[in-house]
Amino acid sequence: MSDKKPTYVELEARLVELEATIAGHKQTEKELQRFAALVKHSGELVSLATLDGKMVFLNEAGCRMLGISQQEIENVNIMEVIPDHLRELIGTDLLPTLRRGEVWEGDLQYKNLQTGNLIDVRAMTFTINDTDTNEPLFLANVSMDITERKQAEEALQRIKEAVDNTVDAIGISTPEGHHFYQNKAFTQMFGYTVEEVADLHPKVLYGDAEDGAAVFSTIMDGHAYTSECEMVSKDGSRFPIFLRANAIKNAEGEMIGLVGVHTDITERKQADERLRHLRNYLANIIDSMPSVLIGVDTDGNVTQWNNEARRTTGVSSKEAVGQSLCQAFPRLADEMERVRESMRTREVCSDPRRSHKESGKTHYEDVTIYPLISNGVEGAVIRVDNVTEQVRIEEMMVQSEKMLSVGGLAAGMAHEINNPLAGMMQNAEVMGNRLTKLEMPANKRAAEEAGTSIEAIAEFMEARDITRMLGHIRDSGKRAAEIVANMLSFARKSDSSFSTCDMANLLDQTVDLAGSDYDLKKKFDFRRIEIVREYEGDLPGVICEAGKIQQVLLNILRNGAEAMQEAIGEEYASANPCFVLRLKSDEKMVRIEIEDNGPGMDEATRKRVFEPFFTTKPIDEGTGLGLSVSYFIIAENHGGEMSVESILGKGAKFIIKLPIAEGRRP
Amino acid sequence: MNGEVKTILILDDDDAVRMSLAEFFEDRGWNPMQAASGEDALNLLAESAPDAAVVDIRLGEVSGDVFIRKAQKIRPELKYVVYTGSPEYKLAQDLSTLPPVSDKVFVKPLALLTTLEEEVLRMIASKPKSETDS
Repeated sequence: MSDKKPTYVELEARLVELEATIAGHKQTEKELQRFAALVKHSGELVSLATLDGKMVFLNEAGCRMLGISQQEIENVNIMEVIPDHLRELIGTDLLPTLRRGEVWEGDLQYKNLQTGNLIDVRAMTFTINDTDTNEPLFLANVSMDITERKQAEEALQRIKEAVDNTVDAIGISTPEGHHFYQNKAFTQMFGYTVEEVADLHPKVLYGDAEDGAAVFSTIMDGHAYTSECEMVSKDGSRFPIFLRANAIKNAEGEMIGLVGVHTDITERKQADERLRHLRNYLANIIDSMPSVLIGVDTDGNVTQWNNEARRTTGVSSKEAVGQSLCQAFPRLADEMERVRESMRTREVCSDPRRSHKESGKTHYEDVTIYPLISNGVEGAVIRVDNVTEQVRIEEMMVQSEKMLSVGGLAAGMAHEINNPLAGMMQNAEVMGNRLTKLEMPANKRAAEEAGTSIEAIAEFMEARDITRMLGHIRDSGKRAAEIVANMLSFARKSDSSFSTCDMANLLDQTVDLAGSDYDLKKKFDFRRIEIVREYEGDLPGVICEAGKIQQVLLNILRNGAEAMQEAIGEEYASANPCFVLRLKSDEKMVRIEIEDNGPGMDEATRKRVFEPFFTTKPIDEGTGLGLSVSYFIIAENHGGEMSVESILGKGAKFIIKLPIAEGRRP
Repeated sequence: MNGEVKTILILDDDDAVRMSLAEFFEDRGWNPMQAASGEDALNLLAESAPDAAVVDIRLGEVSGDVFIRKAQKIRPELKYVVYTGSPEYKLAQDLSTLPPVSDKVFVKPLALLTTLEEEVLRMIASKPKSETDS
């Protein structure tokens, strides 16, 4: 006999021999004892009972299993250890089998009489028969405790069910890559049966064969594989998968298989895509706004920075986000107080017409702060609109209105002023005639009658400067009359004669005119000024009143020439006075630029140059109407635009835009 | 001024203007007649026949234009020069085509009255239509 545990069959054989022994075929005592020890120490329950169930033998393992002491054995009927639900099975299956002289083998449960616990067993029951009569004498039973195996099986079953019913597709293969298991989700997801997958080259499942190779090589190298990849089902459809693959190892750490868990992330991907699309769409909207839009959190740190913000500041969104508003947009540093105030009061807060200087020019911005109050999102959006152009247009409109009212007033007043002026000037003229004209007979006669001579009177007039005074009356009257005439040009007129003009011609003629006329009055030679012409070719004609436009151009040229002349000797003056004349088309306008390199003007002056009666010239040299009349001619009479750009010390640039011929007639 | 003394009618309601103008012409050897209103001027024409008239436009009841139209009927040979304080004034259509009315409108104030005198003389020298026809 070996030490090996006996199998049922062997055991049975031994028991048959034992039975023979009991029946009288005498074996040696030693052999008998050996069998007895075998039975006694067996790990399995071995029992003998009479045909009516009375237990006559139970080995040690049996005593432990059933909770019966050696002393109690003979008081126990074997039916006592059979739980109620199995008694029927005993009656209908086990006993009939035994009666037929066959061995019954099957799973049973025994009740431990001490604890009441049920024990799962694998039982083998047979009868021991009389060797002579072949009549059954005893019931023999050999049972093995299978509780642990049963539990393990159940646990396995639960795991199998869990695996089978999980929504992730799970597949298992041998280390050699032979696919032998897949759950329902796997079948559903890929459309293959286990057998089909087993016959497939595993790489067929992967959209990119390299992904498949990577999965296996990663695991074979001893690592877990976790990644997103594209996989292909039987019908050819491709879908994104989040794949986790791992090695299955036994207790010794040897790899016994590969398991792959596949999650279909199509929906997640779609949701991601929708989210991304929505985010892009919103970003697009925000970026295409012509306003600067900046989001800040409660601490004043930038959370959102649109295109216009980048364009205005030169700071990219990447750099700006996360920085404080003061860092990202220093110009708005003083708005932080308003931002906090707006978030606190939950009210929109605006700061219109903020001005700032940029390369010497004043720019205007409207700043509006919107607190973010929906969904409890705290923070604010700051909107900055560049309104420089708007402010400029408003300034011009005010200017225009101012001039119109001057014009209206002048029209009403002109007659009332001109008559007394005529009275004064005519009388001064007649007085001059009567007091100085020696040849006039009435003068001679009247002088003699007064006891003097007209010569003496004339001498007196000279000596006392009366002639000069009369001249001053005439000059002053003339100036007053000119002012009235200039003011009148502010009145709207509609009966002027418009025709199509070539601006290049008109500008050149005006330059010639300025050259011939200017040097008469001042000691400055206009022809010393360099003229640079930058004319765009093929310019459309302009509908205008040529004389009026010439008056405007002449005015600008004269002012510029005077300014450049006065500046000579000053440190900021250019030694080479120069006019740059430009002509170009600008949408439906022709743009005329006259730029000088004279002393320019400061912002305060620049703002007022078109204002009536504003002048920087000495009181007897300018009426302050030249440029305002020019402005009026361009803006009101011609439907054009006129503006000036200047930096103090760097010259001035006058810009005139006139509608081209096909446009509306002013 | 050789030969006979020419007569000029000054029509203006502004005394300082009218009188100084009359005095200017007188000093230059003219025989000036003055009228401060259109009615007065028309009454004057009933009795005398001046060679020319300097006419203000904005007057009381009878304006300068009306005066010229009426005076035309009384003295067809009379020449007119308009001298007005309204810079915007333009001769009415019917007047601007009349040969005896100068198409040059003088606006007050004039720096030198001699320019006005020259125009008056030019008008007198021009042949009236009726004379050339007959």
